[in-house]
Amino acid sequence: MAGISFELRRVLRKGTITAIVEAFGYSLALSSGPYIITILSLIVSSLLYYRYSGDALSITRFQVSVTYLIALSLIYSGFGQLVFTRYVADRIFEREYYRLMPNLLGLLTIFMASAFLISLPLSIYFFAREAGYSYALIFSLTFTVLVGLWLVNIVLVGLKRYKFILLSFALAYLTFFLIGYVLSSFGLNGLMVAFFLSQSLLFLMLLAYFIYNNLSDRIIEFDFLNKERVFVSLIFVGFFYNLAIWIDKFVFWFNTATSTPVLGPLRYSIVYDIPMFLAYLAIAPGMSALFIKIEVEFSYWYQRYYDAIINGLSLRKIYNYGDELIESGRSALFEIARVQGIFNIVLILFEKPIFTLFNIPFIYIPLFHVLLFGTFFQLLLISVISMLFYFDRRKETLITVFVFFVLNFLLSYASIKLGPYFYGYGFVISAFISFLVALILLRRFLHGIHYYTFMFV
Amino acid sequence: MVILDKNEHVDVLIIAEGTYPYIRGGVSSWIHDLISNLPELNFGVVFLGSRREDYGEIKYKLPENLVYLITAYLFQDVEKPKAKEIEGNKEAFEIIRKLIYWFKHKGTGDIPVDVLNADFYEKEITYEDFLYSKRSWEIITEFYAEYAMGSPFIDYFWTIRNMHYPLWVVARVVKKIGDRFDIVHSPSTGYAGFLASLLKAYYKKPFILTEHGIYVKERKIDILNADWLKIKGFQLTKGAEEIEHLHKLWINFFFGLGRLIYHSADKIISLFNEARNIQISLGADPQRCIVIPNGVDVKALSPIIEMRGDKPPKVIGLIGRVVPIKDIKTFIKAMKITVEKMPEVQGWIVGPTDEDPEYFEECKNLVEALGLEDKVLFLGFQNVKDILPKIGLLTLTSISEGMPLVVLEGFAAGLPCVATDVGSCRQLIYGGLNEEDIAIGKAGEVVPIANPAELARAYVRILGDEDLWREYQKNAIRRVNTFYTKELFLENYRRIYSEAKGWRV
Repeated sequence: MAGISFELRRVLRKGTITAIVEAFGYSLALSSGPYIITILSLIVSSLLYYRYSGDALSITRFQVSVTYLIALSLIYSGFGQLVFTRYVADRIFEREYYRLMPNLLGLLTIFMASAFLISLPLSIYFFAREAGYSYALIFSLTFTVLVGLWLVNIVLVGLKRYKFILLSFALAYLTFFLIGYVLSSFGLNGLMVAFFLSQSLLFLMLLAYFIYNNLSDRIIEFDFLNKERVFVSLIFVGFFYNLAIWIDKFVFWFNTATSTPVLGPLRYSIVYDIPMFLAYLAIAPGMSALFIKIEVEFSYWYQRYYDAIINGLSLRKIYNYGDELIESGRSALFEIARVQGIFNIVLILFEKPIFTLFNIPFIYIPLFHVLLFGTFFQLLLISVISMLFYFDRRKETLITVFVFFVLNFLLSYASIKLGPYFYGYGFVISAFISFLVALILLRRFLHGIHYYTFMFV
Repeated sequence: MVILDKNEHVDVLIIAEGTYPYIRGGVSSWIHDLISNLPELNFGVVFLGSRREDYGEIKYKLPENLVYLITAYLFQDVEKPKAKEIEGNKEAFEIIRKLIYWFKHKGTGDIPVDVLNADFYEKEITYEDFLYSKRSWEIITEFYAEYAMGSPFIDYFWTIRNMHYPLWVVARVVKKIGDRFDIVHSPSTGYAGFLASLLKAYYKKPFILTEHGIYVKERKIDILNADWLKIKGFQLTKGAEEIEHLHKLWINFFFGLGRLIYHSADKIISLFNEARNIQISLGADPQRCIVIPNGVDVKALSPIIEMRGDKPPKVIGLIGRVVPIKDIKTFIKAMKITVEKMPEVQGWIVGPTDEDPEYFEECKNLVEALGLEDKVLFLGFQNVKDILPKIGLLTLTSISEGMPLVVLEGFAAGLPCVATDVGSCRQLIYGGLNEEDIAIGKAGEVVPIANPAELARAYVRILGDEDLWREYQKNAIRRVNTFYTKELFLENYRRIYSEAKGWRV
């Protein structure tokens, strides 16, 4: 489905405002659809179930459980996400299609089995006394399924199967609403079972889709562990990236000054969590711009540059295409920043009516403003990281995400020590500095792009 | 890799590029003969191959006085170091820049001799510097812009890499060999000649260069069917002009290298006059250029004259491999014209047919198409001594030759020769070493290349006129006895080797 960028390019070529809006909306749905669906479903469902059952404690416990499950499963599966996506891309490049399916199953086996074996004793230890053995079991099972889900999901994203992913997410959360409606009368465990079932459905849909499209005569294989074929740095890039984007939340959750215990060791931060969710929802337009600018335009110039080399063009042409590639990268960054910047301003202008509409207390507004900057820089950071990935700059990416992780941890911690006025600035500053680091590394690479491309093959 | 080391001092170290002792052929036999027939000297051989898997077993029975044998593989031996960003030594790359200008300006001005020091490749510009340094990239793009602008850069880039890579392999061999020899002798320029130059500079030993053909010319033909253009890197583009361009790059490289080697060699030996002139035109110092022709074992071959008798058998023999460079097809066409005039004549093609099966197939088809099945016979590889008594006229139709030993063997066995005007053929057949040689007279005919009609005319003339045949035979025998005996050849080298030990280098 490389067709996506082709479709977008066709729409954009019309050059009209409606065409741009159309392309923008389309890519918004494809790029941010899944995470918007997830966040919104969780918020809306709790409102609905509250109306229906009135069991506020269960709903809070459920929400916090799910948040932890998503965070922990993303971090744990982070070890495998990028390294395996790369493995898939390499096998496709080498036309070893028959390896895709058996190795994905191999990967899932290792990750899901270990996820279950590690999480089960821990969740029994932490939750059994307070919430019962069945909760502990469901927690562990959901964690296991989510780990598998993120791995299949990122592989399909890598293969650009956006439409099917979007459809699956929509269907899974619809299922969640329906089952949750029925089971919500069973309290926390009922909601947990509903969530577990919906995520299992999502996981199986994506997996089945992948298997259906990559049939192979082998069932399971562990070729992706082959030393020759594994990029160790990508294991850590994936891990630290996911850890970095969650670490400030954990810092706020585990600091008694900013958090409330909910269930066993699980705590949540009433001051930080809601503005954070909102700030992440707010970067959807920027994500959409990123999608268009990087996946459609930048990738086009990227391809042109490397085609020029392989097709034996002269050095002058290669220099020209290189300049155009760099220019398209620069313009991508500016455009993404512009789109998100304008959106943020509009958002701030209309925030009171919006907050009122969703019944969110105005007390969150100051921190929401701060965090808007944080997610803004994180958006730019992601844009630069995507470009670094295009050029296969694994070392630079690793440096960036590691810096982000360390800063986000230290500065978030410091912000709590400094007091409520400083909440959120830890995240903002660390995202900003990491963005600059990534930008400097990218710039350094682009400065010698021809040298690196030829001499380091 | 050291194959053989008897731990004895080496008098003469021979650098064999793609020849002795792993590949049979003219130069290999020449080396083998030289070593076997100078038993009073200890020899060493450095074999430079392309890749290990391209060679089989040793093809010769190694003589007793071959006391040292080492192999190095030009496109294989140095492990590619891990990629890392480096600057590169500014002064050292300045030297390379100078060197390239020296090549481009046909050797005027001072030669940057640093590049002949083996340490240069370990200290100034390491293999890593060459592969990864920014200065290396700068110089590649700079010369591309100057000399190759507009051609496919990726091909240029990989060609530059592939042609220079062996220099580091060669430089490492220098230390491995050590100071165990008195004289270094390279039977070609190219990478072998480069190694010899490094050895000379590093251990301060005399360097003798013998060129059998002209390396650059032979490389030209090699490159035309070369797979080794694609050894590493991207798939190269294949347009005709683009390939043409890459050939030029290789040829210029070998010309430059050749110039450097000529500069470094103390004696530059060619097999015939024409070759000496070419060497001089390519930059060799005339003072150092001498001619030492090959010799044949006349005593062993002369009984064949009696065996044949004084009537020539109506058989024309072409002794050589069935490959395009020998232009067998022209011989077949010439035979067609010949048998129309003299139906009793047969043409025998004596030599291995397995080197280029496709060409062999084409030749057979041509024989069939011309209806010559019982006139032109492919006899495959045969012992020359068994064949020479049965033929009446020797021929060579090659488009390129150095000094074909078979012509001299034919002379020794009392056979006139009709050959194309390539390499030393004119000198051998008409005489050309000196006045005395010319005075001996013709020992056959020389005709233009790719000209079946001329060839046929010469065949018919010689085979149809027994007096003429006997006259040519007499001249042939006299010429080979006077100038081209193995004794004379060995005596020349014995003298040069003993003189060389006294040269100041």
